[in-house]
Amino acid sequence: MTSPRTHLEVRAVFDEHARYVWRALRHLGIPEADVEDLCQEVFVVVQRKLAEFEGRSELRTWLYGICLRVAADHRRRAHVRNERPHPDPTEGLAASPGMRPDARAEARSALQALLAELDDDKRVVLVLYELEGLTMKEVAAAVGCPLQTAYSRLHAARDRLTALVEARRSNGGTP
Amino acid sequence: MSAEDPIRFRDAGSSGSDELRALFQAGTDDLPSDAELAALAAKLGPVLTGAGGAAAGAGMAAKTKLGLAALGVAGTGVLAWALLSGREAPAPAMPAATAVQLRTAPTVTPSGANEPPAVLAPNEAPTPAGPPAPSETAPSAAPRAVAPPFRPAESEAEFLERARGALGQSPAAALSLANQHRARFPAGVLAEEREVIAIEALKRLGRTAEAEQRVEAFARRFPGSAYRKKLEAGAGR
Repeated sequence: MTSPRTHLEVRAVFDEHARYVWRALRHLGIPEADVEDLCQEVFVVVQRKLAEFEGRSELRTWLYGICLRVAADHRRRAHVRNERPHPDPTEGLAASPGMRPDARAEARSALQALLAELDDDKRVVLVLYELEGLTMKEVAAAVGCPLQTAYSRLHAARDRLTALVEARRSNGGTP
Repeated sequence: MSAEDPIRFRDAGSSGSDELRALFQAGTDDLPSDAELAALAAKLGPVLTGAGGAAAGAGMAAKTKLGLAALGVAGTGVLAWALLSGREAPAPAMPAATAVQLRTAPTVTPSGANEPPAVLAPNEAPTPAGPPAPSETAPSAAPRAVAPPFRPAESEAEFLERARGALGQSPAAALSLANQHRARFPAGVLAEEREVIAIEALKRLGRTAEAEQRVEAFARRFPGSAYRKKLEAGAGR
């Protein structure tokens, strides 16, 4: 049984971070229908492990580390079930700032499709840095890899995305 | 951010194209709605309160994947959102009697150790389960409060859904139920949702000053709550 203080902390962690856990899971390739379930899995782990969290890293780094493991487990299960979607990675790239709400939804969908084109190890680094706003040092800690490895993965992911967008433009897409 | 960290795609001055900037800006804004977060909190009930310890958490995800919590608890997940957005929450997916058998949230924990001191309006006293205190009844001009029958096996989520459902016909009854919630579910996880209902009931009863005081108390107690901004906006703050 965990202590009442821990209980309050779990709620506090939820209030402060749940929306970002949710967003990160979306961008880590979790299907929309499964995001809520995986958020629950993340906070179940948080409840079990929070008392062991020693503060040697930032809380959000620790939390994103849990997200990565939960998402990786889910992908493995989905792979066994052969459920991986294959969206068009260049669909919806015409979206631009100041867009209408439906255009913004299209942009989000297009981003998901682009991210799906990345290898998992590069995607994870890109999502934590570009979308979740971690520093690269925090990214390396969350992923559990050397900092230079994290930089290499980030640059590779950025190059790949840039190439995909350029390919769209070359093929007559509407940027 | 270290000097070696590149400018993010979403930020001005990055090496990425305008298209990439737009996509990553949209992705950064891709956060769950208040309703989605409230539903998640409701489903996590024992996990957030610690009721039942780790064992409760261990079975939580599996239970909700079976849709058990979704039937009885998710309805409450959207109730506060429905209040804040001015829309009616959707009807429960199943009759309450069925949902009761499927609930995942705990009912009453005797100790109540997990519940911080109550948030009360100045003229309200802590209310044990039972008849509402006089200060919670409606003024003479308002519809008369009619407390729905006691349901011993009712879950926390169902209890608050009943309170929300009473808002339209009898805000006084809704307020009474909201104020009973604390005593009925001392280890409950839906204190924020209870306060949202109570505040809305006070507003509908014309007890604006009390509603504003309760909003202030809410902001102090739940500074990070997803409901806070909308409640404060509704109170004209």
